Amino acid sequence: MLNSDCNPASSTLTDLNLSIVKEISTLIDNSDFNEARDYLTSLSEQQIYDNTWDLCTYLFELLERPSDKLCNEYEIYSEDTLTHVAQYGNPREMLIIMLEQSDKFISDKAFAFHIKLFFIILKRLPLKASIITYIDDILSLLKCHLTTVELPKITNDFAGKDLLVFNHDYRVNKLLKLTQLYVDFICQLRDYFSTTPTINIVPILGKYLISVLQNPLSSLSYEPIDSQESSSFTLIRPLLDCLFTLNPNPLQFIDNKEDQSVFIYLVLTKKKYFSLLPCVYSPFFYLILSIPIIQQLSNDREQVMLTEKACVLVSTVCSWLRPNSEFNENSLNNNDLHTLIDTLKTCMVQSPARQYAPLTIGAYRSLFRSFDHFGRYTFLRQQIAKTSCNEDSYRTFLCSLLKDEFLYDYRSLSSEIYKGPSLFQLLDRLCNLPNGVESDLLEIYDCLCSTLNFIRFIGLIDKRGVNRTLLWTERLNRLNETFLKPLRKSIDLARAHYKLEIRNRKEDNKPEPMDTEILVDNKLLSMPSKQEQMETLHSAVTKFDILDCILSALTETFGGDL
Amino acid sequence: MPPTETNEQTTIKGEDISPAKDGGIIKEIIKEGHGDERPLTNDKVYVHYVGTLLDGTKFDSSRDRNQQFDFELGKGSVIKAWDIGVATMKRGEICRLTCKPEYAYGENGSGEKIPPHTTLVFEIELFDFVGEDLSEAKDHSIVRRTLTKGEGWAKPNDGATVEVTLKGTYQNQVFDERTLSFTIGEGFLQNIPEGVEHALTKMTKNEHAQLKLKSKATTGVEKFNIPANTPVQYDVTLINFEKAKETWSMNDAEKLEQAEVLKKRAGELFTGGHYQAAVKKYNKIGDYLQTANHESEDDKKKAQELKLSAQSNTALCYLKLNDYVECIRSCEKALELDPKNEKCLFRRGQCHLAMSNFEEALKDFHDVQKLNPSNSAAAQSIQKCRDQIKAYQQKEKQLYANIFAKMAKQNEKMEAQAATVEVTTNEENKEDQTTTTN
Repeated sequence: MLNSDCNPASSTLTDLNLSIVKEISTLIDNSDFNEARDYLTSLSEQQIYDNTWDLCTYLFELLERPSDKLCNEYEIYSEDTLTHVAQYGNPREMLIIMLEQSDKFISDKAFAFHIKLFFIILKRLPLKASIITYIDDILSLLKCHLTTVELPKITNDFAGKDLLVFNHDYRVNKLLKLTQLYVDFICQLRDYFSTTPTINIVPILGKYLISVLQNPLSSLSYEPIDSQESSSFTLIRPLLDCLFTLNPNPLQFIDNKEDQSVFIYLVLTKKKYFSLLPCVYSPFFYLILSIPIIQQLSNDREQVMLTEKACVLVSTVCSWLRPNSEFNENSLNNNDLHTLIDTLKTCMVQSPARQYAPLTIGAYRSLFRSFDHFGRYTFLRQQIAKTSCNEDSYRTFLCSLLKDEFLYDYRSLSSEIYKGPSLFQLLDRLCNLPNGVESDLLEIYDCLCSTLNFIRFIGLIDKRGVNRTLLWTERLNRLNETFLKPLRKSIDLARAHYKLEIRNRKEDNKPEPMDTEILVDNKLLSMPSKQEQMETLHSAVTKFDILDCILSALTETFGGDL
Repeated sequence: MPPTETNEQTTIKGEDISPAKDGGIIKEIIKEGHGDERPLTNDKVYVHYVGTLLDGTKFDSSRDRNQQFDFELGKGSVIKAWDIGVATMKRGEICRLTCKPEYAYGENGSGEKIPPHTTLVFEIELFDFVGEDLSEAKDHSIVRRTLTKGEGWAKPNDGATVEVTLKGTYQNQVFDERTLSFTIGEGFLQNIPEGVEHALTKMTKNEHAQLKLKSKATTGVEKFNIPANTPVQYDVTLINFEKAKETWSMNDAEKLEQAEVLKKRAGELFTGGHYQAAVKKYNKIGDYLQTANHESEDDKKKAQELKLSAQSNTALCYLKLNDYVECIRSCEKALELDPKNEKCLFRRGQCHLAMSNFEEALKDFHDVQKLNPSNSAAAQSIQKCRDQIKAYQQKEKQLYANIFAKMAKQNEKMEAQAATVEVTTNEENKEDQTTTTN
């Protein structure tokens, strides 16, 4: 087959390109770095422009070449000459090569150097709309490097000192240093393009700043330790400051809340930045804005740092709600509020980060108190109705809220919500044995105790002669028949069963053959010793005795009626 | 307007515009606006403002930020005083609102700038206001202006029964005027445009709104002989509605019951050829039963059957819609629940066949045959696959044969040309040798 390349001009150009690179590489191979430098700088601007592709290909490869010497001359030479090429070469070609070579982009020094080159190149590209695409590619590439930084782990049950150690870990510091370089680059771009109103890069810069907060910076902690500002937060302040210079109301950047959750958390929970927001937004606005964020951040409870942010955010926004007047019962038609309640419940009950549990309980109480009186009643009614019996701890919590509400209602003589049918509806939901006399009392123990105590409380506060709640005359009998009598029977059955079990184990000294095995990480979980098993059984019997005591107290309070 | 005296013995000029006439919001017009129009609830408004305390201390200013402030009116996004006060303004108007704490930040205050129980003063300039964009894509394909605010928070959800009055106009001509009831998600059965149905899920009871629809939101108006994608306007009043039960409010037994109801309705829609609507119903079954935790074995079994049937029928709907990718996806979900489900294996095979994935299709049909050797449809489909594979191979053979033939011809031509050049060069050289004597 004939050689189809018959154009003598292009072959001459190719030969020339190759000869320039060849000349440089020969000098480098002979370690004549100064001569090689002089050779490159002696080339005309046109020659550098025409040879950008080959020069960059060679020089970027040279940049990665290792050296035995203390001072890597290949690196020094490449950096100097690449900077020179960036200043005089074909910026588009150089940019393409740099973007294509992203897999070689592994050291932090290279990261910083690439930022320097990108800035030089961007300043030389024509000011057209397409430059925004280039900036997008560059920022995306640089961000990738940040996301590859390994971070230390922290356990779910961290305490103050653990967090201090975490915050000062060298890997965290490394990430923050690289982030600083990234932010500085964005600030440079902001300043440079601020003089070109036809090219609006503010949205793209804002997008990447917020995106870096989301990943990888979401894994860091920004909460104070012993009232001292977190070092991580100190180091990301420039990022937030930059955001505010891009848009004085950065809430306008929000378009996809789930990808912007860390940003929203920071802006709403850090006083300095919150005070920069417009002072006209309502607490309700901030609450609704935060709800999907709180839900998203608390979804993966293994990610402790995210749960921490969710807890702090929910505590903050709920504390702003006006007590007794923010919401009424109609507000409960707003599904967002139900999402928030469910999320709070999950955080309270299942959050592994124990130190943040009080925050979520406080937030729940703030949310609850923000409803007016009838709103709170409806809130409790709905929650009790939709919570199954096996969510014992949550039902117990609701019962405690109910008790407070009842007392408040009873004492304010004008309001009469907790009486008659409206009270009885709640009692019916609470006074419930899910499987009748065969219910597992230990599974619903806490709520049972709370419920019985609540009934007794009503009897103590609203005496027989007063009977404002109408409990004495209209509900006591039914309560006795449908709940208390079956409960007594259930206690007797359960106690007898456990006592029999105790007796059998005492009499039979042979080890019990195990018919089940529990494996954790492929290791057999050791079953409790016989003594531990006996203790558990005894403890169960004690609990039944306690229930009996409470029932006796109940009988005493209501006289012969129970 | 007569000045209003305050408890602090400071005279504040203006009119009390608070609903309770309790002096909570005093408005003084500094510069009159133009026109008669005022912003409506849900409108997006654009303002500049300066906020000060009673002693004149400035705590905030959009002018200092050099950026207009925008928000949606009447939604509680801003302090009460603003929702009430800005609604009374006209374009171009500048006013001063003096807001008691009850209409501002109350006993909590806000941040470090606004202490608790603080009266605030805002000087506000209203520049413009526009209807609310209700479209999911935020492309202004559904723009609402609320003419009469509705009641409460509740809005119709998917599956809710709504009673509405509507009037559609196109080029100032009324093309649709009626009062009717229908179920959200099934509005197409009664020629309700998609945009109207979507807007209803954002409306409250007794709300009267004007909707401007364009592009995809107008789907359905072509039934009124209006060209597709033509902008139209609808006046809609949501007279009443009954919400479909929300998932969170149902216990497991109720979810199971609702799932049965949905399955029945989905079947009816399928029979009527409304496959997309049927898919939505089947998907809802999946949502209901996903987190259900039934205690009785019967209920568990029922739930499993419903889930499987929903996935399988979803696959069939997609097959009818020729959406083979989604059909395969649904089949695979069903096969996760029941790996030996003949119908889903067969449907997946059909999809693969339609997409010319012959090997995958053959595998599925063979699997069906293994489960049920007497399945004649599978046998026929296997034969069809084989025929199609054969035809495809034949086609490829022909294609490559043509390519190679062309390449061979090209080579011959070039060789011939090369030979001609060589002969000419040799002849020239010969001539040189014979003519050159020195």
